[in-house]
Amino acid sequence: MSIRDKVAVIGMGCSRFGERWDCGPELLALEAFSEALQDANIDASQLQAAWFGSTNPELGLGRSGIGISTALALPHIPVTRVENFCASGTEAFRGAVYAVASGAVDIALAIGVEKLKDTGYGGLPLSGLGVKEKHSSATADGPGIFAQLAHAYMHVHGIKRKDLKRAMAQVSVKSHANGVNNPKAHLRREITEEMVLKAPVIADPLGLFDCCGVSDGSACAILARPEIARELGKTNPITVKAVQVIASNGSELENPDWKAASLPTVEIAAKKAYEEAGISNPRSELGVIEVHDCFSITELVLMEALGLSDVGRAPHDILDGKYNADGSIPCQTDGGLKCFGHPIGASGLRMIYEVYKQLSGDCGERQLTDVRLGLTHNLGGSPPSNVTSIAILGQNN
Amino acid sequence: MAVAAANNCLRGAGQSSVDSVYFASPSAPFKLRLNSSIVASALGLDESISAVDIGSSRRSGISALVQAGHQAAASGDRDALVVASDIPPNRAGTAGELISGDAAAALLVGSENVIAEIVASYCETVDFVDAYQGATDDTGHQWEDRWIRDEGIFKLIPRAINKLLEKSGISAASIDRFICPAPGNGTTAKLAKMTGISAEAALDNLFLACGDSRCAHPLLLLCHALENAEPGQLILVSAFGQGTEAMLFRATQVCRDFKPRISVDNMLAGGAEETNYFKYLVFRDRVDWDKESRGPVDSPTLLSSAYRDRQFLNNLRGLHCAETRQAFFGNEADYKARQSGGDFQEKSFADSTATILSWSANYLGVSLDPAICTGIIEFDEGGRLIVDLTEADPQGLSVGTAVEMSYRIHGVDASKGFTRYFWKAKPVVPVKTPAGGEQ
Repeated sequence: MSIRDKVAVIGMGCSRFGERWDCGPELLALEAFSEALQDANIDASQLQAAWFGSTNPELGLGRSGIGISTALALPHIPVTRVENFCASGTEAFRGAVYAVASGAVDIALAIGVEKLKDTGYGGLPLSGLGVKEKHSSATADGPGIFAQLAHAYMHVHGIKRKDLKRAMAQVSVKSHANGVNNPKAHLRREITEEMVLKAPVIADPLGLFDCCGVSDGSACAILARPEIARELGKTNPITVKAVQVIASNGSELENPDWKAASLPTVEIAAKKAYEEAGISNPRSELGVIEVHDCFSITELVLMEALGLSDVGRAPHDILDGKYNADGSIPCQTDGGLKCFGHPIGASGLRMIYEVYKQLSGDCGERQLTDVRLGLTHNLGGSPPSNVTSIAILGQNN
Repeated sequence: MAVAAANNCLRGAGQSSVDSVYFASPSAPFKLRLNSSIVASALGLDESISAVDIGSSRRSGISALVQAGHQAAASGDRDALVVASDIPPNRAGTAGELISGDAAAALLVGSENVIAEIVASYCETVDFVDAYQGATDDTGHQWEDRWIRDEGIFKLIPRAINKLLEKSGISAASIDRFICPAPGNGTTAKLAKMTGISAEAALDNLFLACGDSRCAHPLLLLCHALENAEPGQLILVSAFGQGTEAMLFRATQVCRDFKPRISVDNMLAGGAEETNYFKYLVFRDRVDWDKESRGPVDSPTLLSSAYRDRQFLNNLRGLHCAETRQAFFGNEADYKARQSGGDFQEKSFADSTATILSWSANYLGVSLDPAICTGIIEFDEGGRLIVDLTEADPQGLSVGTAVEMSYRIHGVDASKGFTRYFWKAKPVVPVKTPAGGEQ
């Protein structure tokens, strides 16, 4: 069973990301929603179901679907709130895709909203892993737990610290260069390798520029079956080729052969997603990718987990420019989490928004040529224990 | 500290069958909750044991030892574990702060293969209030030191020692080691002179080396004396606090073969100097430092849940398969082990060593001792955990660093006052000898 080409994206919207002191979650959502309705050329009354992703309900629109339904004045339809760490946006997308693919509804909305800048302090709000965290978990926040990936990677692949630091720096230099061309991005300033290497250490070996920031934002997608898309005037709609959301089951830590330098759950999700999308050679078939660069080391190791770089070779590919906008697999053309921003529940949909725009030829200054397939990826949680989501979109051929 | 001292004692003693635990401390974490049960469960002792808390006094360590002696004598082949642990609470800038030290000491009391016999014990109880800490105070108070010395120490202690010697029929001159950690320079020597004990017998109270650890101190000095004892030596140990409690020991032939796992001398030689007084104040919570700059920190402990998971949380117990080198922890361990199909056995990893699989040092997160060091560790027998690293210098950490487990405070519920413990990993450091070498 595959959902390949069963669902079309008929409209998308994305708010400007950043420290949006000017608006709360309702207005962020409206900003994205209005753009999507206009893009889809439909009226809100045509929506038949909605999925809503967010991870900090106390700062946002609450724990149910009521908050978003009220903010957007949705037409008394089922609204399901989902939460799956950083994969929440793609999780909302999956719900809407499955609803449309099943035939239960004709047109569905997936929306992610996150208002992170109302806490009164820097950094992310604390989010719970459950009872275990209270009793026995290590004091590891995002930078701490992802920095561990870097130390293990250096050890397993025999890479010197300075060489890995340079490759990680290039990840961020590339994303900043791309972010400059994105008017909706949070950070729009070029940086140099020297700036990255001289920046203060946050969690050894990750420095300031190895970490993405904290942003407010919203993104959404409106989905319909391809025939309905055509009825709405989308003659050649962008379709969903694959959606996979996979939760770790503890096997990383339980496997004595896992050396903490790889992302096994991502590898499994990628295999399933490529199979679902009918992709046999992702390195040549993917025209654009948006991956979960919460930290530069995450993006680096992801290139291997997604099968785009050979194991142990990602630093070389990165330094060779393979993932630059003019490289063979352009990555984070919108600036990525690093520069577009990372409003958690919206991030997956923001990535899909960029891929959709690239496939539609609608990216202005950062438009790539001949993009036929694009991939998005999120990693919610930590390297040893995460929710991985992958979506692949493409031209409907 | 109590768990660490008891672990050191039990591992040094080899096989033992403990059926009672005596925990002495006037600074225990709980007023209502048996503190000795925390120690017992962290040590993985059987739930059929008895456990007793003895507190409220400088002399509670010796009181516990006396009680344990009675218990061991009554129960034949079973051992009693005595642990005294103290963190003297003092206001910043006080003399008490200058002279105090934190410590814990543990002794195993039994009737077989002992390194020293209890010859006699004697106790006097006098409501002499030299120092006190009220029920609602978070630090102690004391009266003038000259009054304490003249009216208390020099009057009450000699009286009790004389009675002990009289009771045991031992002459003061035949005492080989005299332990009396009462405040003041030269106090032990003066008391020896007052009671007829030889000046050579009066042992250094180690206040300058490790501070006065109050109720733990007589036991700490007794451990030190026993580690260096010769067969036949008579050791008199006394503790002052609302009177005097004193014990007399005779070292046996077994003491020749007694090799502590980590001795008091090793401990003193292995210390790391810390000259940052501000850090000390932060550790003692004597400055109102910002714990919430990265968000609210209150996280109430779920007591019913913690109880269900107590084997793991208290004693780091899980299911382990030697063949597949896997370990499962927590509520799902049994299901996972059955699903895996290996030969899984219950095992505590509290005494296990491990190596670091990966690590990080976080300088941005809130900590009273930045950087926050965490890591994924792999036990030598197999099995992994993601843990906090403690006593870890980021400069000295790497993949492959050997670590051992240490029972530590995992968190304190800010609004509920509950201290939560769990195991952290500590880099293994060589045991140091007083001469500066490594053991």
